[in-house]
Amino acid sequence: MTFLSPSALYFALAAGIVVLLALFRTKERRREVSALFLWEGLREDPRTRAARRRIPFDLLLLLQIATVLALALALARPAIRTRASSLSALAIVVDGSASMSTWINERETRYAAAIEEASRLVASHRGARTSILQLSSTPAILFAGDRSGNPSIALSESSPTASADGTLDDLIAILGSVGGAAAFERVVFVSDHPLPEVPAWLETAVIVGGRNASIDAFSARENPNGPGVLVFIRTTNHTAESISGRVRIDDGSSEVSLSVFLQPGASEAYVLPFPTTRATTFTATLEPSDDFLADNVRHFALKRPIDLRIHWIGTPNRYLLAALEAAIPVSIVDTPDDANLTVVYGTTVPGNLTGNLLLVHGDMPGVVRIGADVAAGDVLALAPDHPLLAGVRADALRVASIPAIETIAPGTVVLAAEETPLLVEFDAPDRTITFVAPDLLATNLPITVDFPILIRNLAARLVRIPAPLSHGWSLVGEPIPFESEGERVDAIVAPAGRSIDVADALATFTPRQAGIYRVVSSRGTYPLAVNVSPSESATVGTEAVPLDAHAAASSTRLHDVWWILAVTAAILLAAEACVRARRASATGGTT
Amino acid sequence: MQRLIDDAFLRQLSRLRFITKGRRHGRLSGTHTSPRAGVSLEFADYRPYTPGDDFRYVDWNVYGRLDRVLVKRFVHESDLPIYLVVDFSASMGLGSPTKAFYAARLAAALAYLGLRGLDRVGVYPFRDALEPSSVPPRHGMRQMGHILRTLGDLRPAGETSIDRAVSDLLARTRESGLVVLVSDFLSENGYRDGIARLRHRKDDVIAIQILDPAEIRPTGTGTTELVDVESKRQTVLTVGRSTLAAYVDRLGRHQDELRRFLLERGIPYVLGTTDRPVERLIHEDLRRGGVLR
Repeated sequence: MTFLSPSALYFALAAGIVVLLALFRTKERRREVSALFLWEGLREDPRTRAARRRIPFDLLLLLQIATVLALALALARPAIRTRASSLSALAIVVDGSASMSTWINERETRYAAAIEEASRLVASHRGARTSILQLSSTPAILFAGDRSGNPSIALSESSPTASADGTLDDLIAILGSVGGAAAFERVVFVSDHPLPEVPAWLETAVIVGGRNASIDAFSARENPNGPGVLVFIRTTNHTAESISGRVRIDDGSSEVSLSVFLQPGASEAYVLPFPTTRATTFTATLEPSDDFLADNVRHFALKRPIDLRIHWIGTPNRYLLAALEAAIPVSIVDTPDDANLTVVYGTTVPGNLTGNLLLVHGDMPGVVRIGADVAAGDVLALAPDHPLLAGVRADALRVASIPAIETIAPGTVVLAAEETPLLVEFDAPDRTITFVAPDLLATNLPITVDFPILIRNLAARLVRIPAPLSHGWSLVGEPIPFESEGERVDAIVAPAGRSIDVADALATFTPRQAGIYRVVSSRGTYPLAVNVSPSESATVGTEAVPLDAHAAASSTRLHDVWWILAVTAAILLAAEACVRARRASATGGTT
Repeated sequence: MQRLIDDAFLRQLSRLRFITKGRRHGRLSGTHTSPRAGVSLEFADYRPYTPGDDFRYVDWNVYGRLDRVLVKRFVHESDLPIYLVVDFSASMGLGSPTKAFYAARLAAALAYLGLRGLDRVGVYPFRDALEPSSVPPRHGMRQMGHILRTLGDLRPAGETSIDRAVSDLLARTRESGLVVLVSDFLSENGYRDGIARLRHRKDDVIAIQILDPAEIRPTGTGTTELVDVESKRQTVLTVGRSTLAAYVDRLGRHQDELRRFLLERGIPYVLGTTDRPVERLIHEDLRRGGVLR
C-alpha cells in the first residue's frame, strides 16, 4: 500500500488531542449529590487510582481515536498496487526547470537527454494512454493522453523554461488535471535531481552532467560617501575544481571588473565601487562561461524612474531643456502633480509647490531670496567631491553677473563666485532642491563641454530614490506584485523590446525570461530586473539514476481506496454517537 | 412545565381513600370514625335514657324485652385534617424527573384523595423551615386549585431541616391529623426529633421517601469532584467499584435506620423511586403499606 497524499497522515496526530481531552475530562468530572455525608470518608478504590495514571479503557475513547485515524488515512489517499496484464496508462513528467538547460556534453543538454529517455519510454509502451507533463514552478501539460495524438512529437517540440524547480505539490496538482496519480499505472519523473520527498508511486530517473559556477547574489546601492554606486556580488563554484575567472559589471555605457579565484565548492562575496556610473540598471557577467549559462549573467535595477517629467514655471530656456533631454528622456507636463521635477526659472517659487525642484535665478520664500545682479568673481568649487561635480571642471566656468543673495537656508554650497553662492543643494527632507543663482545666459555654462555633464549629474540627483540596502531578486516564473496604492501599470516592455499587453487591473506580473524589463506605470517608467532562481545553480553532484532500474515494477496499477476508510470513519462516528447517547440516558442528570 | 395531574390520573384515584388508625377527633362530619358518639348509620352502644334525650333514639325493642329504657348511640363520623408536608430543598432537584416534581405529583394526588373523602387538606412545603406559601387545611375541591398552584410554583433550593419544619408545623396547626411527610430523608440535620414530636401530638404520620435510581445504584468511576447540592461542600474522590459498593452499603444502613425508627413508632414507610410511575406507587405501594384502601 502507498499513500498519494502522505502529508495528510499528520492529521493522525489529532488522535493525541482526543486522548488528552479524555484524560482531562477524567480528571475534571463533577457530580452533584444529595447527601455528601454518605460519600465522605469512603475508601478510594486503589485500582481506579492506579488506572488514573494510565489512559482509561473507554469504548467511547477508542471509537473516537479510531474515527480520527480512519479520517487521517482517508485524507492521505491510500492506494493499493495490483498487477496489470499490460500497461494502459502512463504519465511522464519531465523536469522543465532552468537547470535542465545545462549542457552535459557538446551535443546535448540535460533536457535533451531527458526527452530522449522519455521518448524511449513512450516507445516501449506503445498503445498505452500516455500523458506528458512538464514540471517547474510554472508547470505545463505537453500532451494530455489523447490516443489519436503523438506524445513523441510533443516531447521533441518542448523546451525547458527559465523557471525554478517544481515541488511535489506542483506535481500532484498537475497530475490531478489529467486524472490524478491513481489513474496511471506508471508515473515517471525525469529530472536532474530527485524530489526531496519521493512518494512510492513515483519512479524517478536522474540525468546528470555539466560544470557550473554561478553568481548567487548581485545588487547595487547608491554610494553614500561618493559618486556612483556600490556593487555587491557573491559567486559560488559548484564544481570539484578551482576556477580562475573575472566578473564584469556593465551599466550599458561603462563597466568595472574584478578577478576572482574560486575554490571547489566555495562561495566568495565582494563589494565593488562603481564611481563613474549614473545608470539605473546593471548586468554582472561571470567569465569564463560554463555549462549552465543562465546563472553566469545576473541583472539588477535600482528602483528609480528612468524618465523625467518636468513642469516648467517662468522663463523658457532652451539650453537647460536641451541639456536635460540629452541626459535623460524628458516630457513636459502641465501640472506639478504629474511631474517628478519642477523647474522654476527667473521667478518666485509658488508657495504650495511640493516635490523635487530646480530653481534658477529666482526666489523661494523661506529658502532663498535674491537681490539685484552684480559683477561676479572667479568660480570656486567649495565641495569638489560632491556628486554634482562628478566629471565637471569648475575652473572652466565663467560668470558675468550674479544676484546678491539676501537670505539663504542651510544647504551645501557646491560652487561659489568669490563669496556669493552659485550652485547650492538645500537640506530638505523627502525632496531635493537645487539652486543655480545666476541666469544661465549670464554665464558661459551653456557653451562649455561640461554643461551636459553637470545637468546629467543634476538630473540623477533630482530624481533619485533612496535604494534599500538589500534587494530581493525577482525570479523567472514567480509572480511579481505591483504597488497597489494608486499605481496603474500601462505596459511592460520585455528585455528584447517586445511590449507585453497588460490587463486593466494588473496586480502581478509573471516574467518568463531573465533580463531587464521596463514597467510603464502611472508613477513613471522604471526598470525591473529578473533573474533565474539561484536554487537552479546547485543541481550538480547528484548521482545519475537510469530509468531501466524501475522497469521491473512497471506492470502494476494503483487503486485509490480512500473511500473505504471514509465509510469506515462514518460508521465509527455513528457508533460513537450511539454509545454516547446510551451513556447519557444511563447516567441521567446526576453526572 | 409538565402538569402535575390530569383527568386520566384522577380517574384512576376515584376508588381510593385514606386509612386512619383508631378514631379521630374532628370538627365537622366526615368519613372517618370519631371517638365522639354521633349521628351516623354505624351503631356504637346503649346507654340509659336521661331526660332530654331524643325519643327517636330510644330502642323500643329492648324496652319491650327487658323493660329498661335505653337509648341507642351511633359512631360519629368526623373529617380528618391531612397535612401534606413536602420537601422542596435543593437535593430534591436531582434526578430525571426531579424528585421534587415526583413528590409534588404524589402530594397533588394525595390531596385529591383527601378532598374527595370530605377531609380538610393542607400543603406545607418546606426547606430548612416551612415555606410561607403553605396552604392551611380546608374542605372542598376549590382547595385543590390552591394546592396545585402552590406545588407547581415551588422550585427546589436551600438546605433541608425536617425537625425545624415539623416544629413550624406544630406551631401553626393545633389540631392533630394525618401528616404525610414526603422527603428524600437524606438530611444530615436529622428527622427523629420532629417525627417524635408529631407522634407525641397523636398525629398519624406517613413517611414517603423519594429517591432517584442513580442515588440508590450510582454508576460512573474515576476521579470525581463530589458537590453537595445543599451545603455546596466539595470533596474529590477516586471512585471505583469498591467505592460504589461502600456507598451502597452506607446508604443501606441509613435506610435501615430510618425504617427501624419509623417501625418502632408504628409509622408506615413507603419508598418511591422516580423511575416508578406515581400511579403504581399509589395503587400498589401505598395500599400495600396500609396508607390507602
